[in-house]
Amino acid sequence: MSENVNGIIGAIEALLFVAADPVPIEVIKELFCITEIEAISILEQMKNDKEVQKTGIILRKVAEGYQLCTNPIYSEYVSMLSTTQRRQPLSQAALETLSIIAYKQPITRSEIESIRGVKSFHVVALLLEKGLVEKVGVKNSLGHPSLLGTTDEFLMHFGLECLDDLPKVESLVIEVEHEV
Amino acid sequence: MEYSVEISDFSGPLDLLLHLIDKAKIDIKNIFVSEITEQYLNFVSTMKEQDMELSSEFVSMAATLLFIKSRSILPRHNDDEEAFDEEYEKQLIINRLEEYKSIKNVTQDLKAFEKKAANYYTKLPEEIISKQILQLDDVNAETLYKAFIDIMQNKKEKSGNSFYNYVLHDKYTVEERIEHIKTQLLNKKKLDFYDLFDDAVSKIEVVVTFCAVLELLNQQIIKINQSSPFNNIILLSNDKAAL
Repeated sequence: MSENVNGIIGAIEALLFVAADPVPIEVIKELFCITEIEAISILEQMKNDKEVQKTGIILRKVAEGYQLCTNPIYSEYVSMLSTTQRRQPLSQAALETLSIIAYKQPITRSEIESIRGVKSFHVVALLLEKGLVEKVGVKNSLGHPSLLGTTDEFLMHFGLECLDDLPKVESLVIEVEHEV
Repeated sequence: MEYSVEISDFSGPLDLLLHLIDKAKIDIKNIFVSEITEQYLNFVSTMKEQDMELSSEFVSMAATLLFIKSRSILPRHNDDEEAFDEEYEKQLIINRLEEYKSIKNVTQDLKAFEKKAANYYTKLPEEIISKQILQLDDVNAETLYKAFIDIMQNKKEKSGNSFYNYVLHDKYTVEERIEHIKTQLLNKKKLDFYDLFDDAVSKIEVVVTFCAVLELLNQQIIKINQSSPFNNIILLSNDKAAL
């Protein structure tokens, strides 16, 4: 690779470190005045190099961007260090509710409740608080209930690149015919 | 009791029904030609003393199942419409169960994803003061609320707890108004209740003055007279020595 490209690689790495959250391709493309194809090829190169060299910090593609994170092969050691579990696994009820929102978004709370057959106020409040879902609009029906959808935090929590990465389920077609 | 399961093991009535169907090794579609309804009712009858909040939804499903069951036992008057209704309700429950089952299956996948993703540790973003102009195009109530909470949290951390406990000095006090009413009573003997509020400029002053009147009444320093309903209310001194 040429000198110029090497300079860019270093700069992108520094940027990803400071940003810490997943950085979308568009941001890198505009910041360094390169084409999308160039940006992707540089990032993929970086990602591969780190994986091959088994570096402690690797690059992962998540939530429609690239993010620096620790290498999972060393997670054992990291967990020995960290005293608090930052990401506690979700309860069955929370996972159920989150799955419904993920596949049926945008969806109102009462629609979730009719699928689960139980009141879901507290579970939805918990998911909102954790930032895994957010209000994405208002349904044009009686009472104008809020429509819920998943967030980037949701994608990161499950290590997904985008919503299309969710396991395919025939009977759970993602509906998009809501009036927002 | 053949099941050693608790109601809290299930996240809802559909979850329990699926468990029973699974146990009986039958297809969801055959739920109404099986013993599932009886098993479900048996189970629900054992949980009477449990938390009502939790069990009400289970009872509601029991009622629906019982309703469908009773309809299928009762003789019908060859009414096509009624038969259609019954089929419709059965199908509704079957559909809900099938949809719920898909959700439960997906939940297993997500659980595995979650476990895998937990092995990736990330750091928090650096705080960088943006040179960009404040853009509010893409902001909704939720994000504004979050930002507001962050600011309040920061302020709280910087100034200790005092930020929330700051209390303004009272502009009007009940004591001061009591003294005022007492002086007026000494001079005039009789006071019109409504006149007390004539020179009140603010709502808080009216409230405080009213409190003062109540306090004087409570201490039996004044008497209150009203000759007839809706007539003027008159304040009189009860205990001259206390004035």
